[in-house]
Parts: sequence; structure tokens; C-alpha cells
Amino acid sequence: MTIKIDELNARYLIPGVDLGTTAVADPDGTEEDYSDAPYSQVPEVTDIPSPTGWQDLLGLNQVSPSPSQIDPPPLPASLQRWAKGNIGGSSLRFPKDASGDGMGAALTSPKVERMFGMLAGYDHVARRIRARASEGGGQ
Amino acid sequence: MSVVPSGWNEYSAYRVSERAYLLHTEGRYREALALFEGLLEMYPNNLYYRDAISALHLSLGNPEEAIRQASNVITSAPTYTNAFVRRCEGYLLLGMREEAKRDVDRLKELQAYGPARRMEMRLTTVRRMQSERENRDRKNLTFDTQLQSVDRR
Repeated sequence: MTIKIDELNARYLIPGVDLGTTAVADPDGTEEDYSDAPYSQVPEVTDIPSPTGWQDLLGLNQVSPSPSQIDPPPLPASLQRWAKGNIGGSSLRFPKDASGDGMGAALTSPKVERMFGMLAGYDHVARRIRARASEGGGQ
Repeated sequence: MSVVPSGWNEYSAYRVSERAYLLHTEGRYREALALFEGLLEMYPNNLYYRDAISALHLSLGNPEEAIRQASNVITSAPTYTNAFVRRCEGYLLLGMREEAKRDVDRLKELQAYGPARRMEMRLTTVRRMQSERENRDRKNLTFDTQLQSVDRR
């Protein structure tokens, strides 16, 4: 007598009774047709709506910016007008020169000096990178 | 003598503020702060620069300065909700719950319910942390007193 070991159905085996895999799974090898059974023809749901859809709609799932987060700078109103007026590609004339803005003493302040020092530094680095890039690209 | 290059204008300032904003997004807070401070010096009435400086001071762990700048913004623009959020956070970092609560209430009055709710939750957290700390300190004190009395015996 051969002993069948079926790990899949081992937990259903009763001591002394030999139940093979085929006996447990499908004795005839054919599948029964349940298509006539009630609720067997439920239409397939193709597009499942997001459970948080309404919350997204109301903006409830939006992560608020942290207190230390900054928004991007707004384009000044005068520049918005200027940008609209220059859409046609007319000459580039920027509004308001610093001299006409009444800055006075601020123009020589250490903080302003520092800012321009940093900007000059950034420009210097950018120029150096461009120069290196053009050297590499030319060879 | 002026350090401002010739041809400087509002567009130049905008480009610098854009650069400062990008530096902030990269976590380069000190550099961003230096640029915004320079801009504010040139345009002292610009609320965006002042608000940004307040935010950067929060990032750099200077709540006192953040509060000062935010309060300046609020004086100029009493409905500028961002400034209330920043000041409230500054107060919370300093453990000034009453002042923080007042800013939360003001946010609600301004119908900024999202920020108000968030700061309210922060306030609750700070309250809980403070009470936990107080409890811990009290327990330590009791334990120390018991040890001292045992030593005396």
C-alpha cells in the first residue's frame, strides 16, 4: 500500500481514512456552473472611487505648510503689468530703478552689502561652472 | 557710497527673493536669511520679506526673533494669517501657552480654520509635554527628598 502525503490537505485528513488530493478538491474534475445562482451576475466595478475623494475635494487632506515654510515670492503688481505689456516681445524695460525708490541710507547698509556680496559670489561660481562646462564641451 | 549695482530695480529684487526662496527649500536657511534681510533693508515695508525672515528664524531655532518679526507684520497687516501662525509657533517653542492660545483664537476669528486647528493641536501637544515634564520633575523631587531622609537616618 502506498502512502500519499499531501501537505496541502494534511490538516483535513482523518486518521484511518485515506483522502487523496483529488477527493478533496474536485472529484469529477469538472467545475460546477453557478451562473444561474442569485447575485452571480453582479456587474463588475471597473472604476472604484477613492474613499477620500470628497475629503480631497474639500481640501481636508491637504497638508498645511509648516510654520517655518515660506511661500514662493509673489510677482509685484507693477511687474505683472509690465509682463503683460511685454508679451509681444517688445523691448525689455524694467520698471522702477533703485534710485527712484527712495531707499536712501539702506543702500549702504551692512546687510545690503552682505546680500550683494553673496550674490556676487553666486555669480562668480556660476561663471566658473559655465566656463568649465564650455571647456569640456569644446573638446 | 552705494553698494547697489546700477540698473537695480523691482525685477532684480524679485529675482533675489526667488533665489532666497530656493535656498530655503534646500535647507540653506542662513543664506536665505541673509538675502531676505538685505532685501528688507532696501524695502522695509515689504511684508513678504519680513514674513519670510520670521519663518527662517523659526527654522534656525530663534523663536524670539521670529516672534518679533511676526509681530511687526501683524502691526502692519492685522489680518495676515501666516504671521499669526509663525508667532504662535514661536510662543509654543518658548512654552508661552497663553500667548499662543490668543493667536490661535485670532486665527479662528480670521476664519483661517486649517492653520488654527493645526496650531491648536500643537498647543495640546505642548501642554501634554509640559505636564509630563512637571510630573517627572515632581517625582524626581519626591525621590530625592526620600533619599535625603534615608541618608539622615
